[in-house]
Amino acid sequence: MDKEHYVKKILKHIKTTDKIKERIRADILTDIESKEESGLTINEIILQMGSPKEVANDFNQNYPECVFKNKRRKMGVFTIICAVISTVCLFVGVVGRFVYLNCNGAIYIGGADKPTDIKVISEPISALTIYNGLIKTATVILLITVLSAIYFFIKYRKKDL
Amino acid sequence: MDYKYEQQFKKGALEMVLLSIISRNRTYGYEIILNLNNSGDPLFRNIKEGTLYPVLYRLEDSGLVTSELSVAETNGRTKKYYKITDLGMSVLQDMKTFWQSYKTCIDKLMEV
Repeated sequence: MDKEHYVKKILKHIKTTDKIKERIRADILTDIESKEESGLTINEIILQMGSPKEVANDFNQNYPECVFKNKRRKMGVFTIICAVISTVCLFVGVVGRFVYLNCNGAIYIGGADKPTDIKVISEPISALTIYNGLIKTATVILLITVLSAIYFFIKYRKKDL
Repeated sequence: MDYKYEQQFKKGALEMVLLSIISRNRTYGYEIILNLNNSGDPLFRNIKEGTLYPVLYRLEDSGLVTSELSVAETNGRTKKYYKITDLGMSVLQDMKTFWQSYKTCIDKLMEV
């Protein structure tokens, strides 16, 4: 195994952001090259430093804030994806439902004061079911996002301080 | 002594020890490890990279040291060097003062 491959394997096991990985990479490479200068071969250096997993575990244990930063970033990405999906679902669901009910022969009975609960639709209900489903999906995703955010906040609040 | 207690003692002192080593001149990780190994004291001997660098990163994030990639004069290879800042010097001075009074206090308490 050459030094680049060794460093790459270490970084693969460190649970952190790319920015911190780059920081660690520069230090470990400096370390290996300094050891090479002192006459050690790459195999002897690996034997001295430990397996990639051992070195990475040391970092993960002694640098918990870097693991937290990575989790926070993943949580951020997850929240954004969920927010986009639920917004799209909600938009398509609400607009689709509105257009469907107004342009596809939906007839409201009553209407002088307010529509009654009875409506007669001239086409099969499948499209309306899809739009209602989208609205429900958006609500569920939104709920999951909020609950995950609360769980994350409670679990990692102390580590952030 | 129990490994757990030893680790706790070392953890607290390591930041001060590293600041002190870096304050002498700019240095890199492996040189710090050699410094600790050659000090003759077994306390910080065999310190691992995974223990050393997180402490250096914390010192850097607190503005006590800075790092720079620089070409070594001896062989032209690029190395990452750590250098103490003015703030680091001042904090180190405070740490040393605190350490003296801490040591005196603990010694006194242990004599009782």
